[in-house]
Amino acid sequence: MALIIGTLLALFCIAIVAYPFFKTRLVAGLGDDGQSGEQAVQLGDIYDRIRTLQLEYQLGQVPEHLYREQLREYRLQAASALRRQVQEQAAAPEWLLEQEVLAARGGLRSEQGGAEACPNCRTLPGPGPEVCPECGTELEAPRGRG
Amino acid sequence: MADLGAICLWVALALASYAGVGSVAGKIRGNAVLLESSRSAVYLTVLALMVATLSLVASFVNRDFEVAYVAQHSDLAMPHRFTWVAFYAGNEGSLLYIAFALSVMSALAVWLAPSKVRDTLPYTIGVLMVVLSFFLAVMGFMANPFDKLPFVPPDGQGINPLLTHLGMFFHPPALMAGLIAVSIPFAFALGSHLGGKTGDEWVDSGRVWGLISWALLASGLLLGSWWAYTILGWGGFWFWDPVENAAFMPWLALTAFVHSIMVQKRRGMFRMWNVVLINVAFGLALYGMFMNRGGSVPSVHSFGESALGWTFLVFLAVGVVVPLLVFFWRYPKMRSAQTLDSMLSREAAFLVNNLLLLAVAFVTLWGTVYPLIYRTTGEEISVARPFYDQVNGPLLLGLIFLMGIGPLLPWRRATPASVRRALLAPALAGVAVAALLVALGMREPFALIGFGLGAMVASGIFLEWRRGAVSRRRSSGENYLLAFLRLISANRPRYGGYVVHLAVVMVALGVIGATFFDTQKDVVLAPGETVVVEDYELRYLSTTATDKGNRTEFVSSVEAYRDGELLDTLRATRSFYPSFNMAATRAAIRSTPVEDLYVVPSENLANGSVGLRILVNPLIWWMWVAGPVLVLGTLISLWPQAAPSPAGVRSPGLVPDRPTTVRGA
Repeated sequence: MALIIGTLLALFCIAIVAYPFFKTRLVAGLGDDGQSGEQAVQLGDIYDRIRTLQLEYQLGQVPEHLYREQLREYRLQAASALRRQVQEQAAAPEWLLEQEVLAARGGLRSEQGGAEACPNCRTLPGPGPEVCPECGTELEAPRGRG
Repeated sequence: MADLGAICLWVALALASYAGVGSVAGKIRGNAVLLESSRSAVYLTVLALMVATLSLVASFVNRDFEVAYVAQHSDLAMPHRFTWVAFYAGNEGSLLYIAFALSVMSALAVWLAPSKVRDTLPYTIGVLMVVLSFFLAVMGFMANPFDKLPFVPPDGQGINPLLTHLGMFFHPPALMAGLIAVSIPFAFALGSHLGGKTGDEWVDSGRVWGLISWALLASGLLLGSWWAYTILGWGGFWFWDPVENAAFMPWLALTAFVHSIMVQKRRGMFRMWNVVLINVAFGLALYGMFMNRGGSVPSVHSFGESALGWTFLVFLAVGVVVPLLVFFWRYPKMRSAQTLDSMLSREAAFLVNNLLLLAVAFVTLWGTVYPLIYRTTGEEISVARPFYDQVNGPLLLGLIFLMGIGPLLPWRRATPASVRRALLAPALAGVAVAALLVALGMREPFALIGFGLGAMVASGIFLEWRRGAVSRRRSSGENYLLAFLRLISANRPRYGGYVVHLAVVMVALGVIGATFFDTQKDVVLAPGETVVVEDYELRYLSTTATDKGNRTEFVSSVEAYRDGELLDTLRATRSFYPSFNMAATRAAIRSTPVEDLYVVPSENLANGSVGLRILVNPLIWWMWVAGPVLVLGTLISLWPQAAPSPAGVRSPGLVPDRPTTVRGA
């Protein structure tokens, strides 16, 4: 009995291990996935550093001049990471499709009196602001109805 | 069932070997199919080893004494609840446990691996599977738990009496899992460097698995101390036994690593240093397993000298030399992204803390191996507790001091004024506690420094929490409790670390109290006689002997009085196991946060008298309570923050140029 169960288990393992060799459609590029994920994690790390810096400033551990100096440095790093992320996304075909959809939505919003989507981060800012509340990019002035 | 287990071991060995080789070959050849197949093999090792594990458990439950391992570590009188303990009571079973734990952790590590390490994951898998294959091969060829006897004995030899203790359900598995878990961050580091990624890609995985391994080892060490305290009958909790040290040393290296890796995560610094630390931790973990499995030092913790020792020694050599070669190969590319801005910074404090931790590890290693080196001269020597106390004691005090100031320093650099402001209140609290203790009559300098430093650390943490909660309350209007909880939640690694630091202070309290202020008395009492120890008056009542099948159990009853008032009736146990020709004790302990009253029988005489060892151990209660606190802190540190999505990471929101809090509140 043990021999039968053991043999079945071994066959099952062989089948699972061999399965990818017989699949018609393979998941390609195991080593190349996650580039944009990596950018996101880098950005997340920078934001973490900013949060930590804010906390240390609020706890009185960092004097004001060091706080401002380091904050500026981190903001530049974040902006640079954001730019890389956007450039990477812009190269993807899905991005172009999304852009078209957003452009159509933006047009509709403009007709209704709202601002267009931010060209940098795709945030829909709502009526009013002249800069994107998410990334700070300057927005075109909202067009009035008609 | 044993046959099924044996088959599964070989299947697991085949899978692990295939996964290791296939993974690396698939990466080198760019063969995605081979990579996917190898990854499946990693997951399947869990299945194969789970079936093998269940087979051994079933053999124990069914009392299948044809299986040699079952016959050696159980008998008909053994209660079923000790099956779990008997499972890893010997070399073969513990190897199976280690292999199963490693396969589970490897599968989780591969499954949860972040995108940053995907590119080098095949090499990481290769490293992990080499380690797993080693353990499986040792089992297959040298220590198979499913080997059968040529005959079926009517009964087994029984479980070692010292293992029939609640602590044994957790202490060995936690330590073994902790030692083998070091392989995971090590494999991420080595895999990244083999794959040419010499930056910070492996840091997050290394930190998480380093913390898991660290917490497992810490819990295992604390539980082991508790076990020794309650069952070994000498009233202490740490003997600086070579095998105890073998688990302590990787824990020290990992403590350095989990601090240092935060510097790399936050600042992109200490890249080479972190690789060195995790390599050292892995080497020390292998050394620990070597000592535990046939190393040449006899110990209550080891399985006795065997050929396995040499096999582990060879693997230890490979495990040290190969990472060293890879380190030198990748050395030119391993430059840190940043440099140390100032010695007045958190990263500088971490660096000094690392050096002290490694110094303690080195002293402990030297004390452990020196007798072995000395033995080559033909003479024997032993390095005992006074050596460790004298050398490691001041170093550990230095570590507590750094634990007090490090978290109060900001990253990058601080100004003398901000340091003064941050440290003034905790330092005053420490000095005040020391002064108060002097006023109360304490004259022991090391204890005074230790208590003062403990107060400094604890007050620093509570002040930080208070400042943070007040700040949140002012800016958001939350009540204090909510503000405190959200403060913790917003920065889990930092505040989880604070909770762990509190646990360390609690351990320090227990160690200092029991080391400097314990009282011990060994007496022989006839029924009705009394003895006075400190404030306690103890009256010995009687001893009852009961035949429990595999042992004769002697329970001695002792009444404890203070100021003429009966506090408790303590029942201390001493059992004699004829099949092992040994006695095991179970101390009776009246435990309070102030002190433990500890009574353990050393001898039962024919005339009804009993030899008793009586101790009063101040503050040791705090040491055992520290365990759950430590686990809680680690869980807070490990609890994941919301993961950023590739489409858009949430920014810290409004980054205020001027925080709404009042500075220094």
